[in-house]
Order: sequence, then structure tokens, then C-alpha cells
Amino acid sequence: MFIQLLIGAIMLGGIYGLLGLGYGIIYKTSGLLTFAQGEVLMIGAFLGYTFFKLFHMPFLVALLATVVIMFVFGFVFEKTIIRTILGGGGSAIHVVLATIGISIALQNLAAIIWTSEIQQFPPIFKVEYLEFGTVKVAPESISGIVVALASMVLLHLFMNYTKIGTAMRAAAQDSNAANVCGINVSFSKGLSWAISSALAAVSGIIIGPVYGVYMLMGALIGLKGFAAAVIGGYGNMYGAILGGMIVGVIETMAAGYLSSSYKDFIAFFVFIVFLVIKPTGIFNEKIIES
Amino acid sequence: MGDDILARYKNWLIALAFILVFVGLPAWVGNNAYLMLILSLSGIFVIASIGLDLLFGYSGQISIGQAAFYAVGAYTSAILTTKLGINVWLAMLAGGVLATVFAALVALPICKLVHMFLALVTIGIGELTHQAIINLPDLTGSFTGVRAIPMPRIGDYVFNVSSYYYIVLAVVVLSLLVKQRIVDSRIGRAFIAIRENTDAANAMGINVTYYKVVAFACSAAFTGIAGALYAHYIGFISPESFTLDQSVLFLTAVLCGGMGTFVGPIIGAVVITVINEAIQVLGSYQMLVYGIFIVVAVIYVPEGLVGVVKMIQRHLLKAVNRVAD
Amino acid sequence: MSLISVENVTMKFGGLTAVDHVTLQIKPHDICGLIGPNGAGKTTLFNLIAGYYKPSGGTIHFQDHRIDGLHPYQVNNLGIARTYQNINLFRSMTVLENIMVGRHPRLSAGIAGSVFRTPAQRKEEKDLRDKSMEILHMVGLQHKAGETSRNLSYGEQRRLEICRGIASDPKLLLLDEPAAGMNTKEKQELVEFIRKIRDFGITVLVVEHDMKVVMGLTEYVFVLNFGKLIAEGQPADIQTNPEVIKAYLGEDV
Repeated sequence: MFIQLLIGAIMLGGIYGLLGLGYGIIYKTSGLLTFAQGEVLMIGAFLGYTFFKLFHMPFLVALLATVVIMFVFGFVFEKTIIRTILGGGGSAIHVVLATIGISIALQNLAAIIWTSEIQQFPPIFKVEYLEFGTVKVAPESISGIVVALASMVLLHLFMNYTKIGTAMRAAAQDSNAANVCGINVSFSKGLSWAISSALAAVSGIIIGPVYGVYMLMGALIGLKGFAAAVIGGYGNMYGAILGGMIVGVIETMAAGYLSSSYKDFIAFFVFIVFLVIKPTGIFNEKIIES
Repeated sequence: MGDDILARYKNWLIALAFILVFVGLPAWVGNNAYLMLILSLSGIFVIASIGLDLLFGYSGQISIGQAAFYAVGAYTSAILTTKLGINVWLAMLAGGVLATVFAALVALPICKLVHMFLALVTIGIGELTHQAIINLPDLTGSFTGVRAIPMPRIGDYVFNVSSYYYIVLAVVVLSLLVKQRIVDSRIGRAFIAIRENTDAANAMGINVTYYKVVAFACSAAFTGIAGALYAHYIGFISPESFTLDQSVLFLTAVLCGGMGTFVGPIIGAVVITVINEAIQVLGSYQMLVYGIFIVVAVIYVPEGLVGVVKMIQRHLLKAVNRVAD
Repeated sequence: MSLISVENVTMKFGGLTAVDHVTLQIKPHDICGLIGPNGAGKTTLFNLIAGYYKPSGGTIHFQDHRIDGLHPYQVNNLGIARTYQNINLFRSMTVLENIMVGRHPRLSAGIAGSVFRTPAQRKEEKDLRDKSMEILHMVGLQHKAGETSRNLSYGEQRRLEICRGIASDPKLLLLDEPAAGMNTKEKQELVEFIRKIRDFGITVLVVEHDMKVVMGLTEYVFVLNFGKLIAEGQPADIQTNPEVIKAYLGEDV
């Protein structure tokens, strides 16, 4: 049972990590918080489901299409709503509230388009279960982990080895200096929201086949993504992944060995403990403290 | 200096006018039960909004977890009356007191955080409280909730859903009075100083940690009482009413009304309650509209409706002056 | 018999030593100057005295109390007030309210007193307003008492900040470049104002770049360079001190 739990934990950890990554990237480039990531995940899951099941696209095509759509969504969202709020005299808290509004609207939109019932992905693989000795694992869990890992590696490569990625990191560190160097900081910010949305969408397609797709699936996950980001060090890419794994493992083990109703309590408890005792996280990212 | 005094009394005169209007309102609208419901709920919301305004609008501490204090007030009062048969008035007071103590304890370790991290930790506190309610079935009844929460009584008279309105009205007036007294005092000045410039406040001899905790405690006092009032009004509470959504409602009310002002929380609370009721007719589209409403409000009225009111005032004055010339 | 005594204080920020084993004493009722080139550690020293930083080494004593390591509000309660290089007023508060906040540690009203408006609290608030208006009179700002402080001119904001500093009846006032951005007439008025402050019994330590102000105002000067105290003495002696001249003008003189 431990192996089974561990695989589930790693998959969840991967998703929390991807969400945490998204939060970190947005924070680093624009200093903002968004509460819509959980719902972006949910819409991503629904889109993937629609393409795969209803339009009969091959799974990888469905995945790609979803990611591209949500990538564009994130970019447009930043350029329109975020810019308008900040330009009109709003501050970070207004952005927070706006993203909350968007998340509420998206939840309802999903319920209208896809009904409020849980939708199931058809099996992606021909095998229903993989067996390793006494351990039975759904192949979707393994593929989920693979996709999460691939996303992280791709992101790492993008950020560190491409011109755009390096420009983004520069803009995140010092937007004035980056501007002076000819880096389009504004584009960078839009790109960061786009990437975060893409990561959330990927997470949705990872978790959709395993737990089903429904309107509220993103809410709690979105919050736990924050836990991942904080525990690892808010803004630190590798921290987010580590933080995600920690949350995933703690939560899954608590559910497996204690009781599934305690798992959320424990997850949030750990979250708060970190915020109070070590808000800079494991990788010691600077934060604003009074 | 003279303007200062007039400004203060002007508020009280307007308030007095409003009080008289509100006392007479039920008879005026022919005791329409639905309207009374909206008025009472708005009033309860106003009290909670005052709490958040003190915390966020005055001491600058963002909280998206007020539902935790709301819940402590509601559940304490509900449990004391239904399980221990304690007098409703005392139980409501106990709800407020317990919420205050809870907030003080929670605030001590978290008040050093600011902005985003404070927002996150308050969300965590809210979620933790929500989970605690669900996981303590013997105490709270978990998802089944607490039922048959009694109405308060004076002597032989038992309040009902209509006359409860006067209790709420009285507490609203009291809350506004207390809030104004806090704001216009050494305490309030300390809050605002901390919000404006924490380092300078510290250098001026203000024990920042102490006053931040006091701000949380005051905020919870109002919010806890509001929770207790809610519990006895509806007669039934369950964990569903004390989620992040509720905390967001409080935040929306305060932001959309206008923070750090006298009428802001009132306007915001009333508007949010009315909108909440109004969109019921939209059926399955209501949350979509609500979400979009929040986005639109934030874009077009970032400093809250109070800003709009002030702008209208200014335009009116200009028009009046032009006519007078 | 010093009012404040800084003993061998050092402040390190990672690899950078901003204040390097500085020892100095200030006698009560003196007006002292703290000068030095930019980056010499003057504001850091202020921050150390005011409790904003905890020294990496050394101690600070104020009237027999050890104050290094105390919180800024505790240092203020003991009788040290400060102003800032960049004006740090409470911008959305009125002029009068800024002064009233400055007097915070001399008041005692708590939540109960404020909510119930006890006679003691009412009297305290009234006395507070009167005293605050008195202070505003001293700098001619009384007619702007109800004005939002961010709307004041630069010079007025500077004066207000100093007033806020003396509102708590401190024994020691730390002024960080109070004359910055002022014209000659304003600087003269400032010098007179600071002398008046000293006549109230407040000891003053001023960081200043304007040498005329330093020469005309102070009775004793400390010179910092690269965090070290390189000279101290009467203003006239400091002016001709070769170490001081070298610090300001470089080696080639």
C-alpha cells in the first residue's frame, strides 16, 4: 500500500508543484497574487476532456490544444484585466479580488457548459491497471508524473537556456535594468501569466483522468499550490517542486494512515506553520516582513 | 478646527436621521417579510464589515479569513444555547468574547507578516477553522450542523424573524459608535500610523505588535458578534456558511464600499447583500454574474463606492455653486 | 556624565561593515553634529541608536539604561526621538494628527478608556490637542492643522516632522539632514528652531551636510568616515583637522 500511496503522492506533488511554479513565476515578474489558478486547472481539465472524449482527438493532440488555448488565455488575461486594474489605480489587493471574481465566474461557466456532474475521461491507455507484484497502479498516474516532470524540465530549459527565458528572469530580478537593456518587460509579464496558465492547464489534464473532472476540482488544489510555493520558498522554481512534493506526500500519507478527512486539515496546518516559522521557505526566498 | 467639529457632528446628524428612518422602516414597508430578511442580513453583514474595516482599512492588515471569527462567534453561541441551555444574550456575548480571544492568540504569531503572506496565512486560518468544524462532529455536528438555535427573549417575549430586526439595528448602531470611538482615539491613530508607515509608527513609540494584535482582536469582536447574531437569526448553521467564500464576501463588501471610512462598510455590506439576493433570480447564472460583477467593480471603482459618493458630492457642490452665482 | 554613550559599536551587513567600532558620548543639553561623506555610516548609526538595527558588536547606554537590542518603540519610550532623511510623515493623516501620534508614548488611554470615553480619556485627548497646537504654533503651522500632511510644501513637511519628533517630550532628538532642500532663509529659521528645542531641555544630535549649518548650530562635532569615528571636537577645530579634510576631499589634497 505504501508504494501505491507514494505514487499517488508524487503525482499530486507534481501538480501542486506545477501550480506553485506558476504562482512563483507570476510573483517574480509582477509581484502579484492570483486566485484563479485552480479554476484554470479546472478549465484545462474540461477542455482536455472535451477534445479527447467529445472531439475524439488523440490524447497528445488534446493535451497540446488545451495547453495552447490556456496559454493564450493567460496572456490575454494579463494584458486586459490585470493591466486595466493596475492602470486604473488599483493595487495588488484589487488584483487578488479580481482573480477571485474570475475564479467564481469560471466555476459557474464550467457548470453551464459542461453541467455540474463529474465527467470521466475515457481510458487513455489500453491497459486498465499496471501490476508490479502486489501493487496495482493506474497508468494515468504514471503518465501524469511523466508529464509533470517533462513540464518542469521544459520550463527549466526554457528559463535558463533560451533568450526569452533569460530575459524573463532578468525582468523578474530588476525590471528597470531589464528595460534599459532593451528587454520588453511588459511582454515578459504577459508571458509569465501565460506560462502559469499553461502549467495549471497541464495539471488539470494530469489529474482529470485520475480523479474525474468537475466544477469544484480546482478550488482546494489551487490553495494547496500556494502551500507548495510557500514551503519551497515563494518565487523559487525548484522550491515550488519540492514544496509540492512535501504537501503531496504529507497529505496522501495522512489520508492513507490516519483518516482522509484529516488530510486537508493537516495540509493547511503545515502551510500555516511554514508561514509563521519560516515564511522564506526551504530555499530562503526574500519576503516582505514588518 | 471648526470644520473638524462640524464634520464629526455632521456624521452623527446623518446617522441619527438614518436611525429614525430604519426604526420606522418595517411599518413603512408593511412588514414585508422578505424585505425584513434582507435588512436583518444586511445589518449582520454591516457589523462584520466594520470588523474587517478596522483590521484592513485602519490597521492595514489584510485578512481573507474573517469567516473563522464569524464561525467561532456563531458556533460558540449556538452550542452554548442548544447544548447547555445558556441564556441567548449571554451566549451571544460569549461568542464575541471567544472570537476575540481566538483572534488575539492567532494574531500573535502571524501579525509580523504583511501583504501577500498575511493574506495567505489568513486564508489558511480560515480553512483550518473550517476543517476543524468538520472534524469535530461531537461538538459541531460536522456537516449536519447545529439546529434549532433559539431566539433570544426578554422576560416572556420571544423574538421572531421580524422583531429580530430591532436587535440587529441596535447592534449596528452600537457597532458604529464603538468603531468611531476606537478610530478617533489613541488606539485608532496607532492603527492608522501602522498602516501608513510601520517603521515610523514604531519610532513614535507605538508597540506595533501589540496594536496589530489589538486590531485583530477588535475585528474579531465585531465579526464574532455578527456570527452569533447570524446563528440565532437563521436558527441553523453548518460548515458551508463559514468557508473561504464567506471571507471573500466580507472582503468584497469592504473593498467595494470603501475602506477606512464611516459609511464605506455600510454601503458595501448593503450592496453586497442586496446583490446576493438579487442575483438569485438568475438561477444557474447567478455566480457567473456575481464573479463578473466583482471584476467590474474592482476595475471601475477601486477605491470603493464611497469614492463614487464623494465624487457625486463634489459634482453636486460644483453645480450648486454655479447656480448660486 | 553623558546622556547617551555609544560604546565600541559595530554594524555589519554581511560582508559590509557600515559602522566600525564607534565610541562616542553626548552630554545633556548639547547640540552635537554628526558629519561625514556619503556612505560614512551616519544614518546607520542613527538607526542603531533608535533601535531599528541591533549592533553586531558593542553596546549603547542611554541614561543608565542599556538600549542596544531594544525595539524602536521601547527606545522612543525611554526618551529618544528621531526624524528621517526622506520625510516619513503619516501622509494621509492631518498635520495635527501627525503631532498627536508623535505624543503616543506620553499618553495612557487604552481600548477601554477610548471606547467608554472615561473622563480621564477625554481630558487626555483635550490636553493632547492643546499641546499639539502649541507645538504647531512654534513653527507657524497652526493654521494648517486640519490639512492633510501630504499636501504641505516640502519645507513645511520637514518642519512638521521635527515637531512630530518633539511631541513626545524626548530627552534626545536625532535629526537626519533636517536642512536638506531648504533655502538660506529656511535654514536660518531651522537653526533658530533647533536652538529653541534645546532650550526646552532636549539634547540634539544632527546629521548635516551643510557646513554652514553645522558650524553655526553645533557645539561639538563627530566625524565618521567608512564607518569609523575619525575625529571629534569643536566645530572650528574639526574644520581644520587634516583627517577630516582628507576624508571629504580625497587623498590628493
